[in-house]
Amino acid sequence: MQGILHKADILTAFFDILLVAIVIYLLFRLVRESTAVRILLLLPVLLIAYLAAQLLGFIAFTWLLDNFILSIFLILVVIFQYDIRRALLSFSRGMFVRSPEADSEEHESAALLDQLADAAHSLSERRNGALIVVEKEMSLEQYLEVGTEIDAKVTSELISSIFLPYSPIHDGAVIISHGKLTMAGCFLPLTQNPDVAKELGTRHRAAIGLTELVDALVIVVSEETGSVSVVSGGNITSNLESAALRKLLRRMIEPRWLQ
Amino acid sequence: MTMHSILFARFRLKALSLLFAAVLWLFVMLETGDEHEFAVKLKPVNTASGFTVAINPPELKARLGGVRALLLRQQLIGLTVEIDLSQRDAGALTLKSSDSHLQVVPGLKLLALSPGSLEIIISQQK
Repeated sequence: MQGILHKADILTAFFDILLVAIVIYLLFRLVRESTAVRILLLLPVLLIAYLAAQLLGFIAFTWLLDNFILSIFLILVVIFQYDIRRALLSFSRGMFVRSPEADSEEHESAALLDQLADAAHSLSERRNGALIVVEKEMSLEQYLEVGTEIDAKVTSELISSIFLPYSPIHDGAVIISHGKLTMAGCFLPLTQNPDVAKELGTRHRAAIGLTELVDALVIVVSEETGSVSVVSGGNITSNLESAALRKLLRRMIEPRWLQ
Repeated sequence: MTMHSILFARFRLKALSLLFAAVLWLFVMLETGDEHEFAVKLKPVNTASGFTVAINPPELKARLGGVRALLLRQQLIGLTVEIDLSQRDAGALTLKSSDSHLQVVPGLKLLALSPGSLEIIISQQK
């Protein structure tokens, strides 16, 4: 065995493996960790099974795995098309040049985010459930099944009033797009992820579901507990106090998305 | 952020990436084409009783080409050639190496066989 494998220099092999590991890690970081772990456990098993089948002379099993392994990368691209799309968009962010109006944009953006934080705080105090979606790079159009068009300036009072229990459009999400409140009463796609905590309700599931598909950020106010959460990329940050929410929104939302 | 936290953040993902990279490396390594020289054991069969056989050289060298996984399989199985000595009397016999029917693992190619001929000496036991 050594005779055949002797050509592999140990040091070269080590750095080779390390470089490949870094690339794999960076690629799989784009995907939800639980999904990435499942795939990363499956792929080595497939490769080892293929090699073992070849060594043992299992011709049919080798043929089967051979064809499967050839197409597995294509299958992965199809499965993770939304994650890849989201990752490529976030990568391209760095290529934009800061415009001369950047300071003014930042100021307006900060004011709008304050309005969102105030609305979330006010809704939380009154235990009115709410879903506030902030659109980023990716359009939400194809994921919004129903909704009422509004096209209004974002104010905490308007958002709070939309989510009042007797409001006809309180049972859905409001959409903030390009710095405007464009829609209300929108239904969002629910997550299909079986790992989502059982105690999370429909609002949280909808927020996770949408952010698994697009790069939007969703603020969720729980009707049961009044807790405020922020959902992005399928990940949830819960129990945010007003100051923490404000800070998180400023960190996660760039001014140009609100213009 | 400390070095420790950088190294151990998402540790499970990092460890699995390293494992996958190692398996992938092994896979690519074993699926790469190569050549390897094997010693072919010569096994005289059907020798008449009362005769001894001496083969010079005692083994052949076969150079095989193909993917390393199949070369490894060949190494695990080994290479043996049976030389049928039925109806052969005492004396010296020269055989061409190319006449020996070498059974190699499917997918491997015989590139060279040396030496070109074998000398078989059959002598009667005293």
